[in-house]
Amino acid sequence: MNELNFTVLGRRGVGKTTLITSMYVQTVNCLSGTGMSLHADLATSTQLTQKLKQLERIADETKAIVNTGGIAGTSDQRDYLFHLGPNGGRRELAIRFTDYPGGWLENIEKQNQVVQIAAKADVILVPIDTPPLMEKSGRYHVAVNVPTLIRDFLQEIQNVSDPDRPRLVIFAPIRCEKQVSCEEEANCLLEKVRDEYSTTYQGLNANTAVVITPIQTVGCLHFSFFRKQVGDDDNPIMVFKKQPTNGKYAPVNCDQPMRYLLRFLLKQHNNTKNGGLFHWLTFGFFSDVRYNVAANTLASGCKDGKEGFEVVQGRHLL
Amino acid sequence: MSQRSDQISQIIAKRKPLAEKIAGINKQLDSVRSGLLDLQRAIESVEAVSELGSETSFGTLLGKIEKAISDVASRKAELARLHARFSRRTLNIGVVGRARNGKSRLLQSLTGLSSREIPDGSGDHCTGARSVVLHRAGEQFADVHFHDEDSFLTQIISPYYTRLRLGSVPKTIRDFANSVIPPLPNDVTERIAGSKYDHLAGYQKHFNEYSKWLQTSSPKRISHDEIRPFVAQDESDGSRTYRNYIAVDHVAIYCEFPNRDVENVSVVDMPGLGDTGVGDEERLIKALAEEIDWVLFVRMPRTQGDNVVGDEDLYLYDTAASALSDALPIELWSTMVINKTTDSSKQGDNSQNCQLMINKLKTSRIKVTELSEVDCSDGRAVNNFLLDPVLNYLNKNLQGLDERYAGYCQKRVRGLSVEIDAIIKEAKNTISLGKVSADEFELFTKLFRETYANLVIGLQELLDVRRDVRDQPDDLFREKVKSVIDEASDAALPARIDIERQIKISNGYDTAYEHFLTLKRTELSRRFLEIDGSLKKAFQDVQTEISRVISTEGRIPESLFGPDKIKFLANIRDYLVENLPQLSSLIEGFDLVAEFRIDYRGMVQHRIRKQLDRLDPKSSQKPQLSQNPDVDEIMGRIEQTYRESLSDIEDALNEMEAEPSLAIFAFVEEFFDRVFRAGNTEQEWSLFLHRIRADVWPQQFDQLAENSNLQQRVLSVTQALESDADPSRLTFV
Repeated sequence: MNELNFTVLGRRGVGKTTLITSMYVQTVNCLSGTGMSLHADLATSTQLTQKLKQLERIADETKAIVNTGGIAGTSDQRDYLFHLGPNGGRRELAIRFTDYPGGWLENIEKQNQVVQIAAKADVILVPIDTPPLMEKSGRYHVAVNVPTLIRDFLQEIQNVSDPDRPRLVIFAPIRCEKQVSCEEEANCLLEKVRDEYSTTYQGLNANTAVVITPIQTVGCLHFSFFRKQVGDDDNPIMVFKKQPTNGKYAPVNCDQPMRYLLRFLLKQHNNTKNGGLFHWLTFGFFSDVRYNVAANTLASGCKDGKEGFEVVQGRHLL
Repeated sequence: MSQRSDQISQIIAKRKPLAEKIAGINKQLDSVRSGLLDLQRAIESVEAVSELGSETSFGTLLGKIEKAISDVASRKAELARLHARFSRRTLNIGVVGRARNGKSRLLQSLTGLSSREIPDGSGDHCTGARSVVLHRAGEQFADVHFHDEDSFLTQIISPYYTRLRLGSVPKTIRDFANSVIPPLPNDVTERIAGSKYDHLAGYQKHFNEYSKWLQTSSPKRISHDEIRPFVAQDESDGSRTYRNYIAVDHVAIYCEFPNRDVENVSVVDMPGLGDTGVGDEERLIKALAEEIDWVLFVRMPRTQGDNVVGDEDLYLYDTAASALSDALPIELWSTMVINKTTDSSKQGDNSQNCQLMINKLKTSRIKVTELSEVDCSDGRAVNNFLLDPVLNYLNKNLQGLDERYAGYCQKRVRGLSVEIDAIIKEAKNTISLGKVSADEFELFTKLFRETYANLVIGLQELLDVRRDVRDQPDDLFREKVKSVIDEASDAALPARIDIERQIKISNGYDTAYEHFLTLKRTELSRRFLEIDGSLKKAFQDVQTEISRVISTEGRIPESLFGPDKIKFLANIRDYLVENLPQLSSLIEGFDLVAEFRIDYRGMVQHRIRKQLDRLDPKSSQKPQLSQNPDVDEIMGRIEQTYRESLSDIEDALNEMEAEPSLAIFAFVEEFFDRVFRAGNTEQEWSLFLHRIRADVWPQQFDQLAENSNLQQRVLSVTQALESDADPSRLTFV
């Protein structure tokens, strides 16, 4: 069985683990009724269930405000394996999500390892911490989101990859509950991401599709304020407030990356009839009309041109 | 006390307040005098630097000032005499006469004293010292008033040296006693100079006989028996010669007058006009002017052929008349006593000549109030026919005489005001002649053009700099905002224990929550007031910059408008308003400094109001508590609301951080427009700088500066003088 590789390019504490947990939860939910389902392997499932409980507890117990930190991150490289397939049938499509400690991004001894992981990935998700980008005129953006480092990584990843290989890069503003509370604000966010990252994605080749997907990983926690850390002016603690006061863990749009992933795969399948490089992947799966329709249904749920979502490059690949 | 005596007392009492007023006027004249001296010096200084060559106008003016100074001295002397008159505690009757005319006999008859106290020896000048006899019931005594060494030297000895031209007067009385008196110059014109020289020599020769009294303190109280050795030149029988009298100024003898109706009356023996004494005339005049209310001239016609009014009579009369001269003509306050002698007297009956003398006197230029023929040795006759009429007359007329005398002095003092007023006018005219010469105008024009150009360029550069940064954050404002935000961020939030307490006090979570919101809101609101200082400072900084350009490029000196650069512009404005109000465009320009406002309330407050309102318990933006709140939630919500509010305020303030720069640029631009572009500002600058040119270009206009200072000095001196010499301040009747 062949796999689709998926990884995340983000610093420590940017919320990768929370992101994966919420993506999983929401994707599972949105597949109901499509005849398809997503399963994690046993180890992944066990771990994600634990993370989910933690998230629900934090959301539940918070009465007013809570500091960032969320749930504990990853201490070593590890893979999460998901299978997408018909209900009760064979698991046709394997999705391997490779996680690694965020600290590696800025650790020169580990940076190459990150490049290797990402170079294998068909889909790379770049989480962007929204409050540092949008609040205080973006005062903390550079220090927290290291946009230049991200640009250099993506460039390096492209350099070591096959130039003909299609790839999907998702820029995902996360923790943006406050900033997408209305369409106008969501547009501001989109514009800001474009401003800050256009040089980054314009430097990627024509075989790379780029999409911006703001996602709310918890739902009921809105950014409130930065609390300065003594001795570290650049990295304040972000404080979130519970809103509404009786809110629960309710992630929003965390299914979107998976929908774009499917849309991307489907397009590759259709474009190249034989699946091109993804032949191994799509030959069996999308040839079955039932799954093709289900995948199409899911892919058509991709948000684009609203709520801060936009395909900014490589639309022909989607 | 009789009615007449009582009335005389009243007249004397009325004099006292006037005497005080006169003393005041006399002091005022001292101020006038020093004012005139100041003016004299000030005018001399102006004259010294004047290029006007108007010696004539300065010369006349200085002459007039000189005269005024001397007039003030005369008025002071007159007032001193008037003051002496009004300060007297008694009515004084002076007896004037040449030797051997019965003066002493008349004194004896008036006072009841004998030759023991009032010598009437037959020798020449048997009376050596003057007496003042005062009525006193009860104990009888006399007070001897001696000269001291100084007064003896200046009043007695010094006149001889001057009149006989003996060179410089000895410095002390010892010098006089121990040195040889210079010989009498050959060409001295003084009458009977030789006898007078001998008289002076006598003072030296007998120095040891009287000198001890010059060191005796006055008065020396003695009994009537001891009087004669102090007033007479010898014993009545000629057995002894005395020299004590030389040291005596006068002797005040207290005795009971035979006429009881003479309380408050003294009888004064006036210095005689001797042949050989020098200074007798002056002493007589002085004594009459200062001490006497009524003069009794005593003249005893000799039995044989003495019935004409002779030169000596006229000389004595004229001398006495000059005492008060026009102030109070002597004919209003004198009696000519024709001393009638009888057969029983030493010289026999002179009644025939008395009558002839009286007839002659009536047609002579000797004018007196009364002509009285009386036997001076007849006490009763003297009191009844001489003293009583005099006292009656005085009782009726003394007040009128006083008024006339005072009025005369007053008129003369007022004359000073007129005289000085004219001098002041002339002084002002004379100094204002300093006109701008053509050369100076040319020089000023050249200097002004250069300076004005520099000033415009300097301010234009300042304006350009401010224009360049008008969109940039004002550093001061930004720093202040940052520090206030930092302080507010670090400020403590309510502790758990405080919240728990408040929940108990206010009996509820919501009220406690609202309580702390209000508290933090007030605190935050107050913190931001501090920004006011940075805004004001930013404005002060630009004022300082403008002031610097004006004082360096425009050369407008700190000496005129102060070293404080912030007050500098306001001071210029005040100067213009006061001194050059016609320069309206410039004044408007400088007005702007006072009008311009940049402060917290105008610029900041309204912008952060919305953000602060989030902390208002009544605000809808306020986060609601959950249905089951706890202390943690309250703590969290307070911090959340406080910090969000603070964060929004920070954003709002950061957005406006360029506004102070913009406002200040607008100020500089408007200031520039008003003082350089409006109306005929260049001409106004020219007039302004011309007025202060001596300070702006001190080297070039140095002389002018000095002149201007000197003129200023003259003006201020005249101002003081004008006030001192105001008629209202020189009036006493």
